[in-house]
Amino acid sequence: MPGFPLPDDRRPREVISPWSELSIGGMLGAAISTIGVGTVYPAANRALFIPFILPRAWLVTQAVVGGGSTTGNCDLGVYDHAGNRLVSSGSVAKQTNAETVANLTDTLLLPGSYYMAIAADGVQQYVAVAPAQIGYLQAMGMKQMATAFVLPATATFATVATSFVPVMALWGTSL
Amino acid sequence: MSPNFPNYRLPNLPTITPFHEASLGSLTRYLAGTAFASATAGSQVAQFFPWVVEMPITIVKGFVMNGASVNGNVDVGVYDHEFNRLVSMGATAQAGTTAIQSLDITDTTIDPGRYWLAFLCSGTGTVHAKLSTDEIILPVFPLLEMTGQTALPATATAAKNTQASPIIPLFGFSTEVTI
Repeated sequence: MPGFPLPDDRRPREVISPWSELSIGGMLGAAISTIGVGTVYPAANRALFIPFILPRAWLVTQAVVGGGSTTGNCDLGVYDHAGNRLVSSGSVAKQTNAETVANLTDTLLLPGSYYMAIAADGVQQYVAVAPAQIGYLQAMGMKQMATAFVLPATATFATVATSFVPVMALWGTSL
Repeated sequence: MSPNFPNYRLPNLPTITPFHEASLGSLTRYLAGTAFASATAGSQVAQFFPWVVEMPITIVKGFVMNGASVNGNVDVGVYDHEFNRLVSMGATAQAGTTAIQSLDITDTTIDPGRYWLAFLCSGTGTVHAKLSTDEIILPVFPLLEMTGQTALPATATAAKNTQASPIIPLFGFSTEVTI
């Protein structure tokens, strides 16, 4: 039965994070061997974009990010491959030393290539990992945008400049 | 209903490297050291890494993550499964230490199928890579090479790796101009 069971990357799933094989997980696993820790966000009002792909339709419902020891606000969302915002939470209060869960308008994502996005209004601490070289993140396809809080309707992608991968995830349901 | 239904095909991330799941992927996590390190590639040894494409992809840039020293030329390319070159940068002076060196290639659309990602360093420069040994890697996945090359050839004759401590270099291709 050559097509069964489905390989890992085709299974229904509830969570997609940068550590998923549908995102930059393979590269991230090769680049680091540490767990996330509270890390200062690279720059106020900067947005970070982390690529992921969907082989099947997915209904995204929530986004979450790990928070460090300071307070502030963040915005979590999803963009298409061309930089068009599909859904975002808007500004939400960041939790201190706990995860921040943001409700998203339930949004159907068809199979394709996307970015999960985060923007913060200050240099608060978030749980993150920091690969040794920024070039690793560039090779993974991460992008950034300055002056992007709250997340803008259209993103202008620039080369990512700080080694910082937030421990974040999108929650949803495979269809 | 066929057990193959529905047939989900994997879209493409904006970059492809040997460390992506469409290539060697997570295998490198367990078989090739703990993290990337600056390492010397085999001089004039073209290396080939498998790449499975499930949906068409257009690549517009190549890149290599240079190490702590640069020397000679680098070349990156894509070959079809029969080792016919589809696109390559051509031998280019390695430039810029501990940084991504972006390489212009002809925009090339790759159809679904099986391909090889190819890398060549002609000098003694270093690149960021994961390191391993032949007895660990070779039983798990094919590590192919072609020695004596100063640029990636139009047609490659790939043979089993002969290096005792082969590297898996961090290089690849991007679908976007901005890397």
